[in-house]
Amino acid sequence: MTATQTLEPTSHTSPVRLVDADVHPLPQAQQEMREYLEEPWRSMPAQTFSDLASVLYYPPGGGLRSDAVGTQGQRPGSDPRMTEQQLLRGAGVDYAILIAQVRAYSNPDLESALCTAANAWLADTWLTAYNRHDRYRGSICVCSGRPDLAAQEIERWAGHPGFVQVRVNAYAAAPYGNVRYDPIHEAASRHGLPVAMHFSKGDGLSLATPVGFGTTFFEQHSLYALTYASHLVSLVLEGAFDRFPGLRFVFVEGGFSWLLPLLRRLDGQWEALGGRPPATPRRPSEYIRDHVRFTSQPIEEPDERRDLMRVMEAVEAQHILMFSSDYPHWDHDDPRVALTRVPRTMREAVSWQTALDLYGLPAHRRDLDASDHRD
Amino acid sequence: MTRVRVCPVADLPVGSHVVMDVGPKGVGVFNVGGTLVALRNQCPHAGAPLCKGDVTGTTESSAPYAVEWVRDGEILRCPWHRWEFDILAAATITDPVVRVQRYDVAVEDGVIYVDVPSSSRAREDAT
Amino acid sequence: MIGNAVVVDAAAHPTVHHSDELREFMRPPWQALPFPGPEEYSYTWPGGEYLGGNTSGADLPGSDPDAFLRDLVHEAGVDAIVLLPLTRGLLPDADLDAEICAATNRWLVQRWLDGPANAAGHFFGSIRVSLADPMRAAREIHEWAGHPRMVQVAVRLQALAPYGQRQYLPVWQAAVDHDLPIAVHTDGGSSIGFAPTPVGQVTNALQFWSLYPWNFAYHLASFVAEGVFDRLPTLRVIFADGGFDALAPLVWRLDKDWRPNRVAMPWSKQLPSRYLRDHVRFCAHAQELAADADRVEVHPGATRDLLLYASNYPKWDTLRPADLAAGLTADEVDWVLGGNAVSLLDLPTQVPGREETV
Repeated sequence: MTATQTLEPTSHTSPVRLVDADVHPLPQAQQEMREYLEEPWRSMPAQTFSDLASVLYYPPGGGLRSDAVGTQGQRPGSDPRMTEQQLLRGAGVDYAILIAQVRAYSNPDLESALCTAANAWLADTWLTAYNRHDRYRGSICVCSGRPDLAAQEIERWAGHPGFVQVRVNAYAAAPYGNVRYDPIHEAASRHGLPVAMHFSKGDGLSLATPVGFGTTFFEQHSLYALTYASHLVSLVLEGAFDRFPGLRFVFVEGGFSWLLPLLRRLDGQWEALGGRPPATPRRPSEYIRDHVRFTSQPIEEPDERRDLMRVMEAVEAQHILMFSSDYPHWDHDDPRVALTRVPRTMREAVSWQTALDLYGLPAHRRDLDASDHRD
Repeated sequence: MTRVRVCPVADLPVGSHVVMDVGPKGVGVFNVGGTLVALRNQCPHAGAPLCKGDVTGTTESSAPYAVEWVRDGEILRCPWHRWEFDILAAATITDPVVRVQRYDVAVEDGVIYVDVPSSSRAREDAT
Repeated sequence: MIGNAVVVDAAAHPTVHHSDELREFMRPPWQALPFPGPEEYSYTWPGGEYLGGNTSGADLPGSDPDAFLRDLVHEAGVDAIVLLPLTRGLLPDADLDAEICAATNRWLVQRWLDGPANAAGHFFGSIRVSLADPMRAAREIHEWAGHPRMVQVAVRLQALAPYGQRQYLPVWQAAVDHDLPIAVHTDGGSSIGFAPTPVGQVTNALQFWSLYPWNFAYHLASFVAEGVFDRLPTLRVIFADGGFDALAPLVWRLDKDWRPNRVAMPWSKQLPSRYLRDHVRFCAHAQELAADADRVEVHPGATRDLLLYASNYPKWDTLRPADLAAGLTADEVDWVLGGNAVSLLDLPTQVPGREETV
């Protein structure tokens, strides 16, 4: 394994002004992550791990920014020097929350094993060898198809200071409020770790919508919101937040403006029931601030900027929205552009304060060098 | 404006392009079928380094589910969100039309020059 | 009428008195085959599925035309009612499904549209078709399109494939041939199919009904991605379960993703939002009423242009036109309560109440 070491950072610090809640590190080659696998998975045939699988819905231009290729031609997201240059220096990110992608296999046991390997890999590389500046934090990948193994994996890493949340795939066999996931929610909330959901490529039935399988990536990607809305409805109405008062969920890359009409529906239904079962103990919209966060990318782009700002004001985005770039994916957001769509009064909260609070990050970060210092 | 030397004409044959670190955001100079075009290296959508994208063609459909591959070498796809731009028109190929900033190109004594806004700042690294 | 507005109820749900009444209109052998009943079985509303709570009568709620006239016309001020009967769910047997739809059409015409109950002319109807056999569905549309009271085609929101895909084109073509819009509405009965959410099952009616209407978006994205609106420039689709409340957030995202992915779907010619005015309408639903201040439109005037009043009678959340009007601006009221429907459905000049506005 070749660890590309970064320069020794200075002992000087700067105040945090930008936290990026969704960054994707990649191994330089699949082999790098496979070395962390245990048997019998380690000895599985090579094609088991091929990147050529699960390319069922895929962006026609490719999934990664073509200008994010590494300093020695490595694939985007795998060169810590390039990430440092483009993300930390170029985009001005102070802390980055890393989410490794483990694709949703049809076999949950294999997927669980790969999650374990991914976590060990991340801990060694981006959270240690590449993290002398201590500006990266990570997510514990777990497979929701095996809640028992997922809970074990959370226990394994919960004490590691580099991991600040759990990551589950947004594709799932049941929405995340379902009781089958209680072992995950119990372990995560006990350790004070939010659970972040994020899409990883899948195949088979995981790709089904209620009306069948769409033809294009356009149809799939543009309607991630409906998957996330389903999870949110489940978390609230199946009582996950009542069973686990300390549980917090992060909805990554699914938009958030749909929250406004959804909460209106949920609250309207709740009122119509007048407290009778199966109404939740609290009004549905009241669960959001205590239990749910959203990341901003890909930020909505209505013709009228004011429309998005009004939605943000209506959902009180200053409490629940966190900036994210999705570096180095094709549809990433540059913070200097995306944050102009956020009302000025909310920019600090969205840029760093909400994420700082959620992940317990220090209010200052280490400078890479003198030129990286900011007063 | 500042006149910047790009390269000898022979070094930019048809189908090739070069991206230069001059001007506020950089410049891409393209040879599309013999016509030279200089574009600001900044996508009007969200600020990506546009000229680092692929020069390619695109698809059209003249009948249901028929696909034609057309305009090969005339289309620039943004390296980030993949918007398709017609290089010669310096504009999106779809409505509503969004334009890319162009700069004037001149050829003198077999050498290509481009006129860019004067900028005393070093160009920021693309992110 | 409400004020000066003609009121058209774009979706009310008549039903047979009892499940087997439909068999009177079916042909053998399907007439004798088992099939699901007409009600909602999986996600029944805890407070009672119908207006006024659970019925204790022998007949199903919605089976009495006089009750429609009393509750909608005389009490709520509705002038014209577009009847959208539900069928029995998405069935695995394409011929049985088609026969159920055909029988529903025969029953609707005989008992509601042409019957004495419609002497005052308030009722209009929908041609039900099954999409399992598109050519058969096209024939069904051709058969009923000439009836002066059939003003639209109705299909289920539930599907095994999104509606832009090529296998459905004969059905949409037939509707377009007769200038009939397509209404899409969640069906009753019991269906084969996928889970109600993209991530599996729900565990109560609240979860189901808060979300299921938003699945219109998969069909809309499919129509756009497959270039159906470009191929059939006069096709109009009504999402009769609502979902207008989610339109702006979802279409912002559809628009954002269109240019990056257009190269893979070159038969799709425009940004998704640009198809809405010419091709898409929504029935309003009680759960979507928004205070003016919170309203964000997908384009200026979207409410006025795209929204249709519908009662959803006799469901528990029946919407009265006055309640919808309370949330509309003066500029919107006349269009939403009836003007859009009159235009969209080409309602004849003898719409009760319409003459009075001339």
